Amino acid sequence: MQSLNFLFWNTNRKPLIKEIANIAKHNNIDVILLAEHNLNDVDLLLELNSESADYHLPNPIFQSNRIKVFTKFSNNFIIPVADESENRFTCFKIKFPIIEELLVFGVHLPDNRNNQNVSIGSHAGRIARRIKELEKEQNLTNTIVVGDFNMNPSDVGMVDAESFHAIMDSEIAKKESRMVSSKEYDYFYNPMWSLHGDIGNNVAGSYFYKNAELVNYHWNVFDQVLLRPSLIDNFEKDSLKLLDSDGKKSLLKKGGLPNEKYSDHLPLIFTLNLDLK
Amino acid sequence: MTTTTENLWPDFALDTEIRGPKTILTEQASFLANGTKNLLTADVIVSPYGNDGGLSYRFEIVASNLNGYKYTLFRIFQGEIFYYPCNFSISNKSFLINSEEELLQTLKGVFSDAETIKIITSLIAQSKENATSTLG
Repeated sequence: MQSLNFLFWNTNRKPLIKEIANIAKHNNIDVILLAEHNLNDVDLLLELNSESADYHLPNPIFQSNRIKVFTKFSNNFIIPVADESENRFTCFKIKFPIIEELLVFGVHLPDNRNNQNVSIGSHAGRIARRIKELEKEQNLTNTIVVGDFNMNPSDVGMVDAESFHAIMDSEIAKKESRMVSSKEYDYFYNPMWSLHGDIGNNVAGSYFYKNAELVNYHWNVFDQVLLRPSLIDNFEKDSLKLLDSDGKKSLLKKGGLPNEKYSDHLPLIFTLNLDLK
Repeated sequence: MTTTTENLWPDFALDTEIRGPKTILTEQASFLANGTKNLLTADVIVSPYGNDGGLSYRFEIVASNLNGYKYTLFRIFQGEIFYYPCNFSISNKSFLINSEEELLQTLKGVFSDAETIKIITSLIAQSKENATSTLG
């Protein structure tokens, strides 16, 4: 088994170089995906490598402004697959000689202050169809989709079979697909349902928003990771966390809400234990 | 009927540790990456050379942040079967290397040469200058 530790963080255009590096070092992160980033690549690289030379600059082929990717692996092992800014994702393969290949999508869907939930759901459907196409092209189903979906796990755009079709039960997801009106729909497993609410969790979500509307969730889990059924057994469930600290200082303010001095989103980390070939 | 002839082969030293150019250059590539915090890396490109089973080793410095710009610092040409002697080629100069020790000495000289330091310093400076603060 080879463990791969992932970090996703929407940094809200704050230059959180120290905080990203702290999280990476504290949690031994291998793959860093950033949305809403406003940072200098070299500055982040030098901070990440302040005590080592573990991390590499993003592959120069990645042109996406939406998702920035830093990894501990040289560009020989990180193969860009698609970089579709208009579709709001970047996709790459992690391809080592001795472990199973992995297809990674970093996504950032439109924000829900300027877009109705149904519009975000439509974007989700478009991205989900592209994911399916790219899986076919690459002949790979070891897929993870991680990012800021601007939807909660229970939103239609996450659950709809014509969209991500991401459900909360890993045993059902392991059945791989289901038929609806004579059409087969592949599942994603969405473990993030378990992180919505405060029982057993350090925080009740990844993003807090409160207004005077009658319906308001307060805490949202917009930052999510989805896994295809083939990766469920590789996913270390206990590793899934929304971080309230960068390892040195709290990312929360008084009252336990995200401190906007850093980001209005909290970072998401998780581990995959990949099979050796 | 079985015929048994005596073993005519001598004993071979299986623990021999002659290191060829590829191993040495790959190690040095890794030292460059460590020393520059991965701002610069180096690839060792091995390809066939000539028609007699020879090999060519190209030591390329890679600047990821300059759109993956590659600079070939030197080349080594090895003949059939044996690592040494091999031919070391840098800029317009070319000379023979007779052993692993000679190769290490030559590399030490090349890496600390003023021209090489100038190239490395320039690539680091341009990589930093080219770093963008992109908005995602």
